[in-house]
Amino acid sequence: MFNKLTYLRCEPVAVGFIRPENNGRHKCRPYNFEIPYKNIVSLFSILVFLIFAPLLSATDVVSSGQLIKNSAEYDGKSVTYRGEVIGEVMERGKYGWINVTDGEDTIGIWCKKEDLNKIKFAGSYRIKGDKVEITGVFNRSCSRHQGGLDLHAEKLEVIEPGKEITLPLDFKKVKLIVIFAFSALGLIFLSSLRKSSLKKPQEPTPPSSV
Amino acid sequence: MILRPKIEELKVIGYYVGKLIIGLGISMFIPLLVAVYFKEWNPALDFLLASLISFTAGHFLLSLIPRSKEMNWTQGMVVASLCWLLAMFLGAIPLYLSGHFANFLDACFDAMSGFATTGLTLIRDLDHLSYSHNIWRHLMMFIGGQGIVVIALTFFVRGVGSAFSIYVGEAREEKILPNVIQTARFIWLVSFVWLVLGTLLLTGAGIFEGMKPSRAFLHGLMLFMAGWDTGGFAPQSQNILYYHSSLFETITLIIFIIGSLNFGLHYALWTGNRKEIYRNVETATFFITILVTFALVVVGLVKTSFYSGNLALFRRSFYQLLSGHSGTGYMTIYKEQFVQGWGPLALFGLIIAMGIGGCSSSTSGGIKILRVGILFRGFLKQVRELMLPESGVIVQKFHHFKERILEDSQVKSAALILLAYVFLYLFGAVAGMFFGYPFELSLFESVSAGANVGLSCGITSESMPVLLKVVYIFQMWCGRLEFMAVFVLFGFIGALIRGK
Repeated sequence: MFNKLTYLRCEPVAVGFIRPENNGRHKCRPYNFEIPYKNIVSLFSILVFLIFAPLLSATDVVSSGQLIKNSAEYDGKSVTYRGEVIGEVMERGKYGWINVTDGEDTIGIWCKKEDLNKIKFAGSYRIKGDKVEITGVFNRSCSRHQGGLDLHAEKLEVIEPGKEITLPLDFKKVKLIVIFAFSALGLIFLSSLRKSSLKKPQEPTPPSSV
Repeated sequence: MILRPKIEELKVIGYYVGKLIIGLGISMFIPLLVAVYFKEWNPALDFLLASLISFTAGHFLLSLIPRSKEMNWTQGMVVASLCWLLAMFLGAIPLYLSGHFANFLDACFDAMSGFATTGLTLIRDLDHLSYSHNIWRHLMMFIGGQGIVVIALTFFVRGVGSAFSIYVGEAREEKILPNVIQTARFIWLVSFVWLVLGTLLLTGAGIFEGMKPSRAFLHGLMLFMAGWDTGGFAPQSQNILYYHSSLFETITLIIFIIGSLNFGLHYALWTGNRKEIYRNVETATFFITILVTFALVVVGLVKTSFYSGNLALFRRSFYQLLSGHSGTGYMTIYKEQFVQGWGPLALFGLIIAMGIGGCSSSTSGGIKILRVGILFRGFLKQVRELMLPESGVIVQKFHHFKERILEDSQVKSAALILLAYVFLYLFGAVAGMFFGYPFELSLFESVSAGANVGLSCGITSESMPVLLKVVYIFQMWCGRLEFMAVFVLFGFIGALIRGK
């Protein structure tokens, strides 16, 4: 009995929308149909996959906060870390350093030169740095770098290229500047006026004729 | 009976405060020029607006009383303490306008931290801050470290009597040269020479370690300003760890150690008196306190086995210890690592070092090594006197630029200041515990704020309670001015309200 339901169907109409026709009146008539369970199940499965797929792949990615707070747990293990390259690429021979932030904190990444060459943008005031994904060995107290907390990259990929950011001028500040410029000038004039009036020697008062 | 200050007294205070505020407004032209050079137009507007606000406020005060008069001690102290508060508010304006702070209080926190050369910070996304705002953060440290008043004395104040009273108000007691304005100018000269040398060295190190020359220069300049003035701000969020370089660590370490020495010692070395460096009670005590606290840190770290290898242990712990002892606050480890890996003994050693601080008449905060040296000698004198017959007299001497006889009044004064600092540190620790932080960490952060160090174990953050932010601001202000000027300001306000 639940297979057959009665609906009011509007014609012609796109799925999910009611299109007003004939001055807002709809042509509607009763319509009987069977619910396609197989299609719904497969649609539902696709939806579940689409929703959870990124999360499933993200389970391997650790944040800087997790790495720093649970450094003993991750020490010496291979981890995947994502974030924006900031500052600059600092080459040191065949290797070099980049610093990558995920918004929580920043981790120093020790990379091969060929990986460093993939980086085109490092984040700064006007630049959004390349977003990279690094897989490598995490060190709580790196023996190679005398106790530093770092990540030695084995694989580095740019997953989102960086770009230059244009910042529009804030005209509210310009208005305030004009107001304060006038008030400062007025006060400078006032204080200099008072100063000069104090410096001016007082003229002797003429003797009264009375 | 408490006498209410007269209107004339308020006008004198207003006049000098006005002059100093105008000076601060002029100093904002430096980041303004940087902003124009790098075509950072919004930051340029921030600095123009902030300097205009400073000029308006300063000239308003000057328009009330256009003629200077000599100040007395109380007025000098009130001017010094008021100037630091006003500098915090005005210095925070461009910071807040940058959009990198959650609210104006956070910007004030960073401004006070900058001027008081502390180094604790609440800034958001520092890695995307403009060059000009970053220069301003470090310039605040340079201005504060040199002394807002010292700079003003050099350029604005003419009367020697007035100058000395506000000079002392800013916790500087020694006259290196007979005239206090000459002393201020000497401090300025020494700092400028070191500024050129230190910036060149750090720029060279930056280029050597793979930075672009222009960025290496800017980072060099900023690191010098914050290092020399034992401040602790750095251009990037990872602080010194950003550079992953032992060369950077060595140069910054040398800079902040030299910065934490007495300017009188600089003068002695400047004039060829090299013996002073090991004869002076302050440098000798500094050496001993470094050895003792470093031993505590090493033993603590060996117990926790946090660092793999002796070299790693030495590199990380020695830098952190000296950074804390000198009152700098440069970090080569993550703040969470203090909690995870340092253990209570190593943390205790670091807290003691931070609490003591650097030399007197330097840019360091804290109790100051000279006072510790005097107290230790006073203690020795007391023990010797107990061992002598009643009629016996002990004359205890110490060398501080000249041979001096230790007097009870000196010991008493050192003990009082030490006690005041201990109360200040405990006050912050109790405030931290009130908000639920453990005692160890609360004490660490409190000592760091009160002694103007800047090392953090993680309490200082944007999300910490508002009241705790205010407590730390108060500690930074009080610690930098060494209490006296702050107490005089409170007394002055009390007299204004309750006086007759």
